[in-house]
Amino acid sequence: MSSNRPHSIHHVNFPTTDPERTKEWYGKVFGMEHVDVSQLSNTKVLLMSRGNFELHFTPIEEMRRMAPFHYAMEVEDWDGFLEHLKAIGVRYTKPVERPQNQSKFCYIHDPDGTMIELTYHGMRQA
Amino acid sequence: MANVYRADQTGSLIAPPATAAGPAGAEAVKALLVLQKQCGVDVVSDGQALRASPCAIFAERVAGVRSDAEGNAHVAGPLQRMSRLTAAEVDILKSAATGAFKITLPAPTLAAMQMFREGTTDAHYPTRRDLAVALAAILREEIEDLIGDGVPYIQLDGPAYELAAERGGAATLGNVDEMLRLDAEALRELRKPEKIALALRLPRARDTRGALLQTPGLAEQRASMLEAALTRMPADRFLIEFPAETTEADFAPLRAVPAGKMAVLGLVDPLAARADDVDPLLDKLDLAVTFIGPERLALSPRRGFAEPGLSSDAQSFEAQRRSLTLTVEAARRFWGFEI
Repeated sequence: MSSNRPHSIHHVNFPTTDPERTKEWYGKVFGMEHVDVSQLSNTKVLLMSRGNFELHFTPIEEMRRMAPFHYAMEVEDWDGFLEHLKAIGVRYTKPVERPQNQSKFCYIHDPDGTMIELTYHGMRQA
Repeated sequence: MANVYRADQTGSLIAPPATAAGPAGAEAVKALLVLQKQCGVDVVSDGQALRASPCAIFAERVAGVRSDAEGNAHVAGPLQRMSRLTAAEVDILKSAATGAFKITLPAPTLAAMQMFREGTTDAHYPTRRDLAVALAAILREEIEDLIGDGVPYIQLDGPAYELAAERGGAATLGNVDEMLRLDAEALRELRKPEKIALALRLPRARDTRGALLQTPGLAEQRASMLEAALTRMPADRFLIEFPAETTEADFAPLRAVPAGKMAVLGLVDPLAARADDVDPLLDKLDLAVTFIGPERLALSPRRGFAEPGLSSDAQSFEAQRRSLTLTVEAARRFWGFEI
């Protein structure tokens, strides 16, 4: 039986003005790994993988403002992740808590100003 | 609490170069609305583009007010409000603005300073204080009408209250406390929906050419004045101009902001060279939250753009765009995405 239900989001693509800086930042902040496809394709797009999803970055000359577009990254350990951000010098907005679903969120920005929401759901299934 | 409007502005804008050559009018206001929308500020204004001077709103609408050849209004007879002061601005903003907008008005003491002419006004109002009392009643009526119109954000532009004594105000308008009391009369106990914001702008002291005054002890006088204004004035928001080089001490008066009210920090350079230089602003906001919670703060350019000391050429217009964009970018970085 056919289904129109997507399996999952494979990747999201954002602009970058400096692919090397972006590669380093997403590696440092989220532990994402660069997927080197240079032997397979002459694409200029930077591919970063978390294992079960990817973020792609298309090089551009001048960054246009993205707000309010953003995506959210669910983290496994809220307090630990904020400590990690402090340790590597990444600024985050004041965390907000939603008691109704035991969730928390705040925002960070990548070097090009792309907004990333960090979320944590205490009731999330493992 | 009224709407938060994190990325704010003073309401004084340079008209686009294409419209600045002739008398600014509705087209200039519409062009400014496009600019503000492109920059992404949370509240837009008419930029005061319909006014030759801040007090021009009184001319032809208040009996007893005359205008000289330069468009400067002065009081030459008993005052009586004949019609709305800001009807034209409200009409344009209501029809052309797509989001929240603000209307600015001079505070009674500021208007009294600017419209008092020795030898003319004193035949009807012996002192500037008497004139300020009459103007407070007129401005209060206008504010009541603006509230009735549902204008989301109404702003009084105050003088540099801390300079009252140095400018001879002590003999006529009174000391800082007395000036605040006079201006408070325009705002006190107004019946309004909570979502409508009443604001008071608190600029730094400048000479007539727009240069900042450097009088010894002025910083202490300003800190003391700010604490008095923040504590006593019946406004929801305070737009405070800060120095270009701020220290933690500059933010200390923010402790006096009462619960439920907001401080709009005038920190952004109106001549910003870059629209993405957000980190220095974020560092300053971090200093400010030593004294007040971030949820009660907002950000704006330090001063208005169409003010003495700033030019109104095409380069300045682009600097204005950068400054407003920088305000928005810094606000998004500091407070995140708030809907």
